Amino acid sequence: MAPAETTRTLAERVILMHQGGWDEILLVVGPLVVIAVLIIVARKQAPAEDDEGDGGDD
Amino acid sequence: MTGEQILAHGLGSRADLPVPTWLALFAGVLAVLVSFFALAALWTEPRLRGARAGTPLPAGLARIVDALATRVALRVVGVLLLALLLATAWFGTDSSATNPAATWFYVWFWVALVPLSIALGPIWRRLNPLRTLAVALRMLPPLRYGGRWRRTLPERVGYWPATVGLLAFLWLELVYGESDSPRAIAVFVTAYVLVHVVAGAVFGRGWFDHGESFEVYFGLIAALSPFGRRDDGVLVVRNPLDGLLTIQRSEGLTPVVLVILGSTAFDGLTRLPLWGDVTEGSRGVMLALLATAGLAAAIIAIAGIYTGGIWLTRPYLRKNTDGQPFEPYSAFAHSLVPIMIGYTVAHYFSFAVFQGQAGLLLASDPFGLGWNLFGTADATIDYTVIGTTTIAFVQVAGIVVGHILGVTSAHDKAIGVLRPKYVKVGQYPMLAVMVAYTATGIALVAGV
Repeated sequence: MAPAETTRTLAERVILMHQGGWDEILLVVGPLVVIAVLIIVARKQAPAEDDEGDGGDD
Repeated sequence: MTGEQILAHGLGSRADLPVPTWLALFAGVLAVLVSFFALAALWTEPRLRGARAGTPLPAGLARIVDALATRVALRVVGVLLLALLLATAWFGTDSSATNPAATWFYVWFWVALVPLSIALGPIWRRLNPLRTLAVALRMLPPLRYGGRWRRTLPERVGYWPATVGLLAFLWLELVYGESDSPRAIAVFVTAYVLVHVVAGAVFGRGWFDHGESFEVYFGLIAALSPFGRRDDGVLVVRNPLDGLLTIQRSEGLTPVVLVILGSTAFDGLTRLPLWGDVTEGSRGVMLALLATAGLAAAIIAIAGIYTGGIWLTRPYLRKNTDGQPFEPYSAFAHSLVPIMIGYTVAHYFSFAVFQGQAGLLLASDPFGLGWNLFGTADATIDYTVIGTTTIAFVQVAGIVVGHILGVTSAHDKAIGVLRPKYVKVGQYPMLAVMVAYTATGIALVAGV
C-alpha cells in the first residue's frame, strides 16, 4: 500500500469510524459540562493577583 | 489453549456491564463529586499524619518480619524466582502457549504483585533479587567501601531512571508485536538485570529506591497498604491514606505515576473497536510506530490533563516561609496513586483471574520436555471461576474507589497548601481532573 493511500485511508477511518447515538453523545457531553462548570466557577472566584492574604476562615 | 488466547487482555467488554454504560459513567462521576463536597463540609482540618501515624504491630509479629532469617529467606526466594524465570524464558519453548515465562512475568509479577503489595506492604523491596545481586557485586575490590568505582547518586536524578525503565517495559508489554514471546522477555529481563545490578553496585541502595522501576512502582502501591513503618522505624498498622503521605517526594515522582496512568489508558484504548479501525491493515514496523504514537499520545493526554489542573490551582496556593508558592506537582502527586491502582485493578482483574491460572498449568512442563510435575499439564483455564457481572462490578468499583481515595488524600493535603479562604474552590480544578479521569476510565473499561 502506498504511503499516501495509507494516510488518506487512516484519516477517513478516524473521521468515520464511530457513529454513536444520543446516549453516546451524553457520555461525552455530560462529564465535559461538569468539568467546564468546575473550571468556570474556579476562575471566577480566583483571588486577585495582588491579593496576598492567606488568613481568614473558609 | 492457543497462542491467541494467551495474553489476550480484552476479557472485559461492554457486554460485561450489568447496567448501561451511561449509568455506570454518571454514577462514577457523581460518586466522586458527592465525596468531594461531603469532604469539603465535614473534613475541615488536616487529619492525616503520614509517617507519624500507626499502631505498633504485636512485638512477636514485628520480630518475625524483621528477623535476619526472614530477610535472608526472602532474598533467596527472590533470586531463585528470577533464575527460574530466566531459565524458562531462555531455554523453554518460544511460545507463551506452552512456556509459563510470559504468564509469570506479566501476570504473576507485574499484576499479582499489586494486590500483594497492598496487602503486605513493600514485599518486592524484600524479595528484589537485583538488590541481592548488587550487594554481591559490591564485594568486588573496585566496588568495596572506598573502591574507585563507587559513586553517589545525584539528588537531581530523582525518579527519572525509574520512569525510563517503566517506559521501556510498557513499550514491550503494550507495543511490541511479540511481547508474549519468552525470548523477547528473556532479552528484556536479562538486559534489565544487568543495567540495574551494575547501577545498584555503583550507586548503592539509593539506586533501588529511585532508579529501579519495579521497586519504585510497587513501593508507590505499597504506600497504600495498612501495614508500614513509622518514622521511628516501628512496624505499624495504619490508615492507608496516612501511608500515602509517606511517599518520598522527589524529582520525577509525578511522571512515574502519569506514565502508568497513561499506559493503562492506552491499554484500554487498544481494546476498543476504534483501535482496530485505526490499525487495520498495518503490520510490522508500521503497526509498532502507530502503537508507539498511541502510547505516547495517551501518556501526554493524561499528563496534560493533570498539568492543566495544577496550572489552574496555582492562584490558590499558599506561600512558603520563603515567600514562594508551594510546589503543587509533588504536593498532590501522592493522590494519583490510588487512581493508578484503581485503573490497574479495572484493566487487569479479569486478565489476572483467568490468565493467571495458566502460570500454574504451564508450570508442570516449564521447558517443554513433556513433564507433568504438578499433574496440570492437560488442564485448561477455568473461565467459570468468576462471572462477567462480578468482573464489571470490580472494574467500575476499582476506578470509583480509587478516585474517591485520591480526592480524599488530595483534600487533606489541600487544606495545608491552599489559601484558607479558598480551600474549597481552589480544589475545583483538580476535581475537574478527577472527573475527567473517572469518565475516561469507565468509558475505556466499558469499551465505548
